[in-house]
Amino acid sequence: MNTAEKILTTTVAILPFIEKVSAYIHDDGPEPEGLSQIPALKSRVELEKLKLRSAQRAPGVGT
Amino acid sequence: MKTIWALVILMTLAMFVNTAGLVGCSSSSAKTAADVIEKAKVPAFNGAVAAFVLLDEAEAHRLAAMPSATPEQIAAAEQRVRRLEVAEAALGELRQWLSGENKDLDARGKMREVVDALDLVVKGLKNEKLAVPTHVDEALSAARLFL
Repeated sequence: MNTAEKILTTTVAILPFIEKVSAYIHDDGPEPEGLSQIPALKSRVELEKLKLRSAQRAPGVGT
Repeated sequence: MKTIWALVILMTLAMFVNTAGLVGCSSSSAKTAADVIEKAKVPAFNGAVAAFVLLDEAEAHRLAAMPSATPEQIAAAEQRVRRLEVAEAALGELRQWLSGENKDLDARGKMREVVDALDLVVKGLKNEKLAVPTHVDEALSAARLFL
């Protein structure tokens, strides 16, 4: 899944929540439950992988 | 893709504007300014989550695409990721507060923490001459509605 697809997936996941919020504001409906789930941080995992890659490519490693 | 994100941000802002409009009318619904502030918190939270997701997705993609990095690049990325972690933790507390838990939370202070952390991520990207994801500014503007 490329970045564009990931962002689209995230957007689609958020849209139903926005509809609930809209109903809540305009129609005095119930307060939406399960407010926007906050997606788990992805950049930490990628940063740790990059550190490993960089360490393996450092001069003197694996030679 | 940009259109979709623009739609998301505009819907969030439109919800706030429309809600504010209800205050001015003299209908029987008689919403007060306090009602508007009360209800602005959700779109603001949504804007903060959108900014967080955009910055995190872009950072993750950028880091994944790098075959290796210099110690300076890693240090700069570490700083940005730590700030994203600060924002993530604060958003978690805000979400609990919005759900009715942790009612003693200084919600505005916590939102300030989120916005400040994400602002610093944006500043860090600009300092490194890296691209800032589109619509982050709009999303942060929505978040600032609650400050």
